[in-house]
Amino acid sequence: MTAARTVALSLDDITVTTRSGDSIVQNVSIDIPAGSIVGIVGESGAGKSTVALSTLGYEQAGTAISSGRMHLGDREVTFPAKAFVSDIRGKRIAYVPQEPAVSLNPSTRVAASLISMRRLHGMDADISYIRQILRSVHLPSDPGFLRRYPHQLSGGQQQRLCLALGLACEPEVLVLDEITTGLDVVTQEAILDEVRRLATERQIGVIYITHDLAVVAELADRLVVMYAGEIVESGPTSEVIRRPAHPYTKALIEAAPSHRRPSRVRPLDGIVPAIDARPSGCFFAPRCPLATEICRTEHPELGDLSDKHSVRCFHTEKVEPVLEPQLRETGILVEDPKVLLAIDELTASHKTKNGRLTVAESISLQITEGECVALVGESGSGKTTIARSIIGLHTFDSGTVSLGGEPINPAVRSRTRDQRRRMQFIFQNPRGSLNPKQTIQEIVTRPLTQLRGLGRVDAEREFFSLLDEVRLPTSTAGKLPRELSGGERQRIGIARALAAQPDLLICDEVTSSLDVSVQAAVLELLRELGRDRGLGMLFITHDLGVVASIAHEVLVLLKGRICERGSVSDVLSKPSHDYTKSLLFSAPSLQRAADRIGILKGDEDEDRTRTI
Amino acid sequence: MIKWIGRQLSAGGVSLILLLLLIALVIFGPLIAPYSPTESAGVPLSRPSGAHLFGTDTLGRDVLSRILLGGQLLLIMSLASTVLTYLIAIPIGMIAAVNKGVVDDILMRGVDVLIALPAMLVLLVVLSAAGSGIPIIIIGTAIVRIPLVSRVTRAATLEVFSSEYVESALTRGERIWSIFIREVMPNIKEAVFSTVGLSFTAAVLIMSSLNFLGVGLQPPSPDWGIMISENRSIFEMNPYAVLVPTLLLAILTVSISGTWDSFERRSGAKRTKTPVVPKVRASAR
Repeated sequence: MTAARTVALSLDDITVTTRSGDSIVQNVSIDIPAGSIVGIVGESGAGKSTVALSTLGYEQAGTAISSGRMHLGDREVTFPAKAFVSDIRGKRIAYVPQEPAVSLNPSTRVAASLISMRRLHGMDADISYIRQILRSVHLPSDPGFLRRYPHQLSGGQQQRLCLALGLACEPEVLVLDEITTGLDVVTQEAILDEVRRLATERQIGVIYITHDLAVVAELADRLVVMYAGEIVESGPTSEVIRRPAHPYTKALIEAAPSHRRPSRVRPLDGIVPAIDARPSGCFFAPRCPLATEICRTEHPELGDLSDKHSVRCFHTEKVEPVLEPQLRETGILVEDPKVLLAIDELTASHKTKNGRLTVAESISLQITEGECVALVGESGSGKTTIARSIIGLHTFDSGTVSLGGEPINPAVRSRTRDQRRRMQFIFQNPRGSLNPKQTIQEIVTRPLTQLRGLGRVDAEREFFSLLDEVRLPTSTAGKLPRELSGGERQRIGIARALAAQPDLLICDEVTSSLDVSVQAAVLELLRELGRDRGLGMLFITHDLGVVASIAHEVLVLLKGRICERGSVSDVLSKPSHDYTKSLLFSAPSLQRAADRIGILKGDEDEDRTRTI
Repeated sequence: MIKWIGRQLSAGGVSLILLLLLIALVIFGPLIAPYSPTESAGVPLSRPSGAHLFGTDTLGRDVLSRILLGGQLLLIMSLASTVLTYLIAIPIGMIAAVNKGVVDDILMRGVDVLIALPAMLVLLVVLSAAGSGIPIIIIGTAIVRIPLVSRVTRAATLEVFSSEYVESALTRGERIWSIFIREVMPNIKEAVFSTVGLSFTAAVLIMSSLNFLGVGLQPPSPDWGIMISENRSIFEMNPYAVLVPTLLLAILTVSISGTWDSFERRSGAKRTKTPVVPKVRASAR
C-alpha cells in the first residue's frame, strides 16, 4: 500500500430516517481516499444504496438525511442540508446507477448526452474532449458511434457510456451502484478492469456498491460490510476476506458459492429485519450463532481492531476463521438410475421481423433419477428457450423430448395429465410466478387437486406437510405472496412444484434474484430434495458457483449450441472449450482474491489465516 | 366552522352525498309526486305557485311531478346498459388477448370500426330505423362503450397473460376459462373497473341526448332529456321546466364520476401499501 493518501470524500456519522422516524441507515462513517476503491457490501435491505445516494445529498421519497457531515476536499456539508449545492452533485461526485438500459435517456444520442452533462455543470463541451472521454472508457469515438442511440449499444457499451457520463465532469468521487449486475461475466470483468484503471490513473475515489462479495474482493482496497442499515465491519479487503471479524461477514463468505470445485454452500438462516422491526440489541443477534444475552439487550458499538480494521460485535474474538468449503458428493446416489428425460436433437427458434431466428440448435441431453444437469450460458444463449421447450411453453421446431422413454407432445396442452404432473417448472422470479391475489395455500393446493386429484381434506394435509418440507411455518398458509420475502416466495415456488410429486424439476435461474445467504439456503434445499426424493433436475443458470454447488453434469451453451459437456468436476477443473475457459477465468472468485492477497501479503499473519 | 366542514368533506364525500340524494329522489319521487306526470293538472304555462311548485308546461302538466318521475327510467336504463357493456366487452378483450392472430384481428378491427364511426350518428340511424324500444336503446348505448372497455381489458389481460403465474397454470394444463377466472380476472379487475365511472356517466349522457333528440324515450313519458327538449321554447315563461332537469342531469353525471374516482383512489391506496416497509410508503404519499 502507498503512503497516506489524501481523502477524496469522507462521510461522517450519516443517518437517514423515514418521516416516521425509523432509521434506514444509521451512523455511517466512511473515508474514501483518492485513487482507491471502497467496496460497500451487503444484502438487500442493508442500506447500501441509501448511503450511496446520501453522498449526492439525494433523499428518496419519504426519507431524509437527518444528521451527519460530509467532507469533500475543502468543502464541508452538514446534514440536514437545506439545499444541496449543484456544483457537487454530478460534478464533483458522480453517480452511476444500476441499470444502464433504464438510466440512459432513450432519445438522446451518445454525444448529446455527454455534451449536455458538461453544459449542465457549466463546462465547455468540446467534441475532442467528448471523444477523449469515450476513448478513456474504451468506447469507439468515430462520428457514427457518437450519433448512436442507447438502444443501439450492447449492454456492456451502455454501462461504459454510463461510466463515461459519470466521468464527463472530471469528478473527484465516483459512486458505482451495482453497475455490473445483469451483465455477463466476461463483460463484467472488462468493466471492473476499467474501474480499477480509472481510479488509479485519475486519482478518483471510488465507492463500489454490490451484493456480490466476490466482485469487490477482487476489486476494492477497502471493504465496508453493511447489515440492516449500519456498518458491521470495515477494513482492508485482504484482512476482511481472510479473517473476518464479524460473524455476518464470515457467514456471507461461507454462503458464497465457489466455482473452483464442487462444494456445498453454507446457508445463513433468517432474513434481514425490516426497518421498523430491528431488534433492540445487536441487529444481527437473531441470526447469529455466537449470540449471547448481551447481544440481545445491548447494541454493540463499532470498535477498532487495529487502526484500519473495525468491527461491531461483542464477541469478535470468538469468530472462527472461515471454514474450508465442504466438498460434496458428485456422483448420483440412486442405484441403477432410470433415464427420466431424454432430449434428442432439439431445435427451437423465435419469430422475428426478418423470419425465424434459431436460438437453440441440436440440443441433446439425458437426465436420470437423482441427477442434476446444469445448463450454463449467458443471456441470449438460448437456455431459457430450451427449458420452455421441454416444459411445453415454447413450441420447438424439430427434435424429440421423451419422458420416461415415451416421446411427448411439444405443446403442454396436448400432453396427458400424468405427463404434466411428472415434470414441474420452477420460475426465475418468485415475485412474478405467484398470483398476487391468491393466498399461499390456494397457490400450493391447486396442483394437488388439479394434477393429483386429491380431495379437499387430503390436499390440506398434504399442503401443510409441503410447507414443512420447504421449511416454512404454518402461519404462511393464509398470507399473500407480497407479505413474504424473496427467499420465502421461492420456497413457495418449490413447494408448488413438489406438490405435483414430480419426477423431474426444471429450475430456470431460480436463485438469481435472491441474496447470497438466501440463495445458499435454496440451493441446499434443492440439493437435499433431489437426493431424498431421487428427483431429476435440469438447472438453468449463468452462475458457475451455483453449478459447482448443485450439479452432477454440466452443459455449456454458446449461441444456442452445446459447446462443452462433462461431469461437474471435469468442466470446472479441466475445461476444454475456450469459451468455458473464459467464463471460468472471468467469474469473480473469493478464493482467487484470497490467493492473490496471500501471494501479495506473504505469510505475515499466519496465526489466524487458513485458506478459504 | 365552514373551514372545518370543508376539511371533513372531500370531493368524493360530496359526490357520494349528492349521488345518494339523487337516488333517493329517483326512488321516492314517484311516491310523493302531487299530480300525474302525464295528465293536465292545471292552467298551461302557469308560473310557480303553491299548487305547482315549478309551474306547469304547455299542456298544463305539473313540472314538479314530471321531474320527480323523470329520472327513474333513465337511471335504470343507464345502469342496465353499463352492465351490458362490461358483460360483452370483458370477454371480447380477454379472448382477443389470448388468441393473438385471426381472432384478435377480427375482434379488434371490429372495435376499431366502432371507434371510427361517430357513435351518436349511428345511434340516430339505428333508432330511427329499428324504432325506439327500450331494449334497443339499452343495447345501442351499451355498444358505444364496448370499444374502450374491451381495449382496456385486452391490454391488461395481455400483461397478466405473459406473467409466470399464468404460465405456471398453463403447465398444469388448466382450462382457459379457469385461468380467466382464477388468474386473470382478479389481476385485471382494477384496471378494467376503473372505467366504470366514466362508462356509467357516458351512458347517462348518451341516453339523455337520445331522449332530447327525440329518438329515445317518447313523449309523453316523463324524462329529463325530453323535458329539456319540450320546454326550451317556453323558457321565458317557465324557466324551471328546463333549468331543473338540466341541473339534475349535471349533478347526476358529476356525482357518479366523482364518487367512483374517490372509491378507486381509496382501494388503490389500500393496494399499494406494502407490509414490508409500510411507514416509508405511508409517508411518501
